Amino acid sequence: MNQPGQRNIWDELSGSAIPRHWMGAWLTYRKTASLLQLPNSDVRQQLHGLYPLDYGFTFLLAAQQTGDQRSVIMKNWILIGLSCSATLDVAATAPGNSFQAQIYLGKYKQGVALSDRPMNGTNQFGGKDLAGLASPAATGMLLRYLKTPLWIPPQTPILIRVQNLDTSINTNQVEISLQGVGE
Amino acid sequence: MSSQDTQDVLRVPDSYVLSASLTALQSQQFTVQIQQKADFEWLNRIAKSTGSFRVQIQDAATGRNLITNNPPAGSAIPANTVDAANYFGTAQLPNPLLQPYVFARSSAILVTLIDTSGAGGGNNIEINFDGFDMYPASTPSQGSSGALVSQS
Repeated sequence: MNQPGQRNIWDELSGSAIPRHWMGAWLTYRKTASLLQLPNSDVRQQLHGLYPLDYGFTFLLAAQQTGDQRSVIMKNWILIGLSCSATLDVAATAPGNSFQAQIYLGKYKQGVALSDRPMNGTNQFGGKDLAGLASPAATGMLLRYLKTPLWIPPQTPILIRVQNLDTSINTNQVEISLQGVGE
Repeated sequence: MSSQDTQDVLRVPDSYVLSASLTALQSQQFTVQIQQKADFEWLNRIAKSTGSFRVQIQDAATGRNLITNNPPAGSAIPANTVDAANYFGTAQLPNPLLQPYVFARSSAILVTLIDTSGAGGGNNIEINFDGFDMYPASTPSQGSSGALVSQS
């Protein structure tokens, strides 16, 4: 056991301490799958006392149609992970391949975008393991975590613009879930 | 910080399970009762179903909605619900709460399920609220008496 004041060598090397189950990340199989993508324990410690709160954004889009959805964060909220689903995604592939999206935050005077241009959903969201990367039944959750969670102050609008990339006549129901914790 | 904030907690694995069967496009609210024995720390979001569905989850004790969603105007999608694909994982690959949520003993979880599969044979859904019962380490036989929650 470490003496007081000493640090675990793995903390120094990886910047990511061994996950503790009470912080919700005691998942042995994630050591190789996605541990480095999880916020480290120091960061997770700062989430203490907050409660889970997810913001969902739903879009019903015709072929190549673009849609906006807006929601205002009313209290302090911290974005931890992102996931998506879409009814017209190509089966057995990572979710989000049937649309592209861009997220804007009205956090500062001019607002900020989380990417410099709309990006394919597959490249920015997690979601169900539809490709069966880690679960043959293709039902497990592979969330995309932010290595450093993003604090969003009260009264901040979040705008998500989604373009349906599917060209069929069917409506694409796209849903983006921003998962986090709030007051 | 009070002394009770730092009291040792004995965690015992436990799961509260909701089993539901919905007909095509049915919407129904269910109550998951937290037992009196201990506060419950929810850790993993796990579910299995025979079809797609949407979910809304509320802490009955505080009235908190754990999901916020404003669907497009004119759509039939209920507010404050999310597609289960964006919320639950499996036992092998759960969707963990990085900050676990504690339900007070004797309280309840209100779960609204909406079938979106439209399957004629119905939709059999099982949701597993996976986590720990929380007992004071000093007197585990007495249960938590709500003390663990009231101090947070």
